[in-house]
Amino acid sequence: MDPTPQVTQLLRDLRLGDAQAVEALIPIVYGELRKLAAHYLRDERAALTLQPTALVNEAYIRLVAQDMPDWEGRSHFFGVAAHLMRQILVDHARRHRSQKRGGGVAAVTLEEAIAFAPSKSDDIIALDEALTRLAAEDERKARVIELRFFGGMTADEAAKALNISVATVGREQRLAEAWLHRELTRSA
Amino acid sequence: MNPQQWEVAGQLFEQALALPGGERTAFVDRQCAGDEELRSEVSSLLASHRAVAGGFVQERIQRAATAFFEATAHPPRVGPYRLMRELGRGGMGTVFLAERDDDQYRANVAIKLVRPGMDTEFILARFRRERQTLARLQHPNISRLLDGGTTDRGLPYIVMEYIDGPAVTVHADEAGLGLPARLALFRDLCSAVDYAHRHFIIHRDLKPGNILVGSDGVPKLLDFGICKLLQSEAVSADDTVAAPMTPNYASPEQIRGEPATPLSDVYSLGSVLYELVTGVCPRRFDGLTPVAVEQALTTRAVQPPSAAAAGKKWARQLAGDLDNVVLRALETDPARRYESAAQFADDVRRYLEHEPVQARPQTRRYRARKFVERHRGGVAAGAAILLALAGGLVASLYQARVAESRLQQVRSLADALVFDVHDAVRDLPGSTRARALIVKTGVSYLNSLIGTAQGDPRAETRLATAYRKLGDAQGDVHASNLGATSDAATSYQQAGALLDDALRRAPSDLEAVTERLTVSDRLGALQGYTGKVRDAVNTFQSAIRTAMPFESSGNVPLRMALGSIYINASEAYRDVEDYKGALHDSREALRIFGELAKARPDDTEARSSLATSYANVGMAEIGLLQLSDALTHFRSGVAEMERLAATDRQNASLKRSLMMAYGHIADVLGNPGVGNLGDRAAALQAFQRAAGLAKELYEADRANQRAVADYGIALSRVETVMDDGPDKVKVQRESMAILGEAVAIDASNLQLKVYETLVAQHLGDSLMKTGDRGSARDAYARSVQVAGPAVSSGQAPIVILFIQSAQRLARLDGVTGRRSEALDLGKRAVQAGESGPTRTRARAYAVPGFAYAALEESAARQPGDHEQALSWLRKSLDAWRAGKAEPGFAAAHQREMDQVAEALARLERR
Repeated sequence: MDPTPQVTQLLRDLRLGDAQAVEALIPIVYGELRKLAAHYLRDERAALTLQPTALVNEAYIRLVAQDMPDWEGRSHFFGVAAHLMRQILVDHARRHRSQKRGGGVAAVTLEEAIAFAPSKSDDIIALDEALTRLAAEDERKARVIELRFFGGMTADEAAKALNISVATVGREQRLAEAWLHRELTRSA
Repeated sequence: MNPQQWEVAGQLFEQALALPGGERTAFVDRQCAGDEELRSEVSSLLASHRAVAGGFVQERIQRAATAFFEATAHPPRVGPYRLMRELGRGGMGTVFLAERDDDQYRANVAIKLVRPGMDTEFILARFRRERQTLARLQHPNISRLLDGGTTDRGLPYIVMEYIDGPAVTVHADEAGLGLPARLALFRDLCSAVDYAHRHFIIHRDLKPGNILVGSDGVPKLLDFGICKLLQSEAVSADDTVAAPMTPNYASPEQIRGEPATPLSDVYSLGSVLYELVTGVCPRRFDGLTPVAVEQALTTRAVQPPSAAAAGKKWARQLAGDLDNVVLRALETDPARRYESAAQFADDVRRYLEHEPVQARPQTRRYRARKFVERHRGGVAAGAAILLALAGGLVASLYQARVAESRLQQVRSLADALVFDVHDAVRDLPGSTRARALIVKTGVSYLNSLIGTAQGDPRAETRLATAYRKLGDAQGDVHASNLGATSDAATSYQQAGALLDDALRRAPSDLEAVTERLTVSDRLGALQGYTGKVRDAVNTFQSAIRTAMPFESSGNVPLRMALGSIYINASEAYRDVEDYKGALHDSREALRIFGELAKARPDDTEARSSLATSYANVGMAEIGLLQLSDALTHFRSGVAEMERLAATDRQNASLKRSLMMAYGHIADVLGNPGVGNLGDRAAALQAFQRAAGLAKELYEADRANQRAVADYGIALSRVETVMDDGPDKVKVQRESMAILGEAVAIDASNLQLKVYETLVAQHLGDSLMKTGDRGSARDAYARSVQVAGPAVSSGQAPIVILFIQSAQRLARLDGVTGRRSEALDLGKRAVQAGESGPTRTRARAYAVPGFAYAALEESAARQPGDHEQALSWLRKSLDAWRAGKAEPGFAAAHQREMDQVAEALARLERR
């Protein structure tokens, strides 16, 4: 089954304001990312320096088979991809977070198979939550973080995606990072 | 902080950063003078900025990404499978979508992993055993169990066919299926459930969520037996399964925590059908507490589908037949539902093909009668029986194609399968041949299960119950039987051995104790029945000792079993003439059943046992010659029984008890063979009433040895109080003929021999009175012939009867000159009686005495006969004198003694 038309359609839907399109995209992107990861990680050393962003790029290329010269489209895709990446990582972390907080309801049956220390999953989850709180205060700053770190965009690309100057991107990023750090250390 | 303030904060932050480090604080203080909130915000942000080692956010994301990709690139593996994503969670485990690693062809499977912590050795062993059984389920509508194993860490898992599709109810809506299509789908499901039942597997958690329809449109049942596998059964000590997770589709008995049976699956199928045709669930318990659920079950009736299906275009079609079909499956009482999934499907078929449906209110007795009618005449070729879980008493008949080998396949005994005979079958007259059929199939099945039960007290108790019931069918003395007494003894002993083992492991298991009592009860009764009376006494007393520590537990089944043992124990004591012991034990029975009947007035078993207890007390009192007390007790017993019989005319065992009760009353009123109150007329009336009842039972089931014997015996009693004459002879002959019929069915019954001997003796006496010596001799000869071989049992009545009959015959033979026969009889009599109680010895010595005395006056006389006669008769009289001093000496004894004295006197005069 060729996912390409689906993805393109979903991207269009997204642009038109259909927020649910994101949900639908996740399993598709997930599938692609998984395959890519498998491919890349055959080399042990590569695993250590893995850039999720590079994978997202490739996934994009595979999913949307032709070059998309349309800046807006590309930018948009990476914006979505960044958001998706964030969703996927957080979701994965949530599901595999060890239930040390008592009441141990659901099973972490994969826990035994994954070398996944608890602190790691807590980290990303806390970051995600802090980022959501930041977005409530100042959406653009949260977006900058997302695009730069989850999406792997350069300052240039982020500026273009958000329609601001590169300098502004820098300022936004600095403040956002400080804020996030304060939030995360405060609640720790 | 509002957006404007935030804006300002941001600006200040940037400006401060442009300054050298030391100046920043001052700058902020200055700019924020007066606005503490602003100042604190900017300061803290600046502090964080300093602490941020560039890229701290980056780092976190990096780590998360790495972990994620590692996981997805090297997904967790379970055996040869790679887990891809989670599909859902259950009580004891989680289901994942997985694919097989080494295939060229990628197939998706579903893997269920057991949760860590649920991997005790006990569960693992059971898991393995059940998996093997489940793997054999191959049916187009059952999602196949493909594989199973344990992970590196030792967690068990199951691999199943993955069905990528929605629940059957959702599918039906999405595909726009009409009513006929839905019903056809449903019939496929029934066929799958029926198939599993025939493999002795019960689903226990049927619901739309467990019935998925893949892209091929074929509905498949999931989680067969897995629900049982993965429930936290190990937690509770008894074996009721934890309540199902979705009570909406579960049967009432499951919700109450009782063991599930195939009928529970029928109920669940009913709820699925209900939802398929109406779109809603028949009973909803969401958010209710367990107590509220229990209440709802009893108070809220299920709305008929035609009413609940408002909105569906076929709503009107549901009214009438289909309503009845669905509601029948949803009956709260399992006995009122369809007997099987196959039967359910068949009624649906009938509806589809416009045939009249079977769903009608049916009583248990009605069904039992149908069952019996189907098998009158014996042959339901190749029928086999579905064995239900303990607690669920259902026996149905299936066409068994490969009965033997299929039985051998069954190994799973986690919740033991218990063989049972439908209660109603036992009580209906005419059901003997049906039971023969059930017995035959049961034996091989049970024997195959012993190995599996070993070591598990619960399973052993259940299996023991099965053996006990098998024994009952083979030769229960108290119910209809087929006369296979030695087979029955083996079954009981097998049951006893299993229970002793179970009790060693679990000494205070009340259920096992109760069952042990029941088995001892049956075995002892059987021993008494076949003449091993000492063994019977021991069996009963040992059982009483076992039970006594538990009597105060108040457990009703245990007390009933104990009461029953006391009754049988008192009978055994009577057989060995220990009337004191008999009185004690029968009084205990009376006490127990008196209490039970009072506390549970609707319990017919308790009340009929109470009646029997009265009778037993009476019998013991007779032995101690407390005749009026005995009569009072017998009358109480009869009153109790007449009350019971009035409400249950068909009940054969009740009728029999009533017959026996009239017999007892008659005995004490006027049976010449025992001490009596001398009211012959009343006695005759009572005996005739008893004989009338016996005749009814005889005519209902001529193959039943018990019924035949009872009738013969009842007639023999009637004759004992009749006046001499041709009528009496007629009754005696009839009685002998019937008794002969009974002995032909089972020759090991000693009781019968006693009666046959007695009647023959009486017939001889009657004939002597008419002068027909030839026929009289035949009768006496018959009496001796029947009793002779039974003398070795040592049972008092038969020994006495033998000697008495021998005496009559010897006298007659002596008179007619048959010397060798007469003397031989004398020898045999002495042999039989000289080591017995005093009066028996006295009788024994009299026989050669009379023989010689008669010979002396016959053509075959020889010198020395006179002296011999004197010698023997003197011995006899001496013994009689000694015997007179012993308790229980009655008028009849006096008559016998007088006979000897007279004969002696005559001899001495010559």
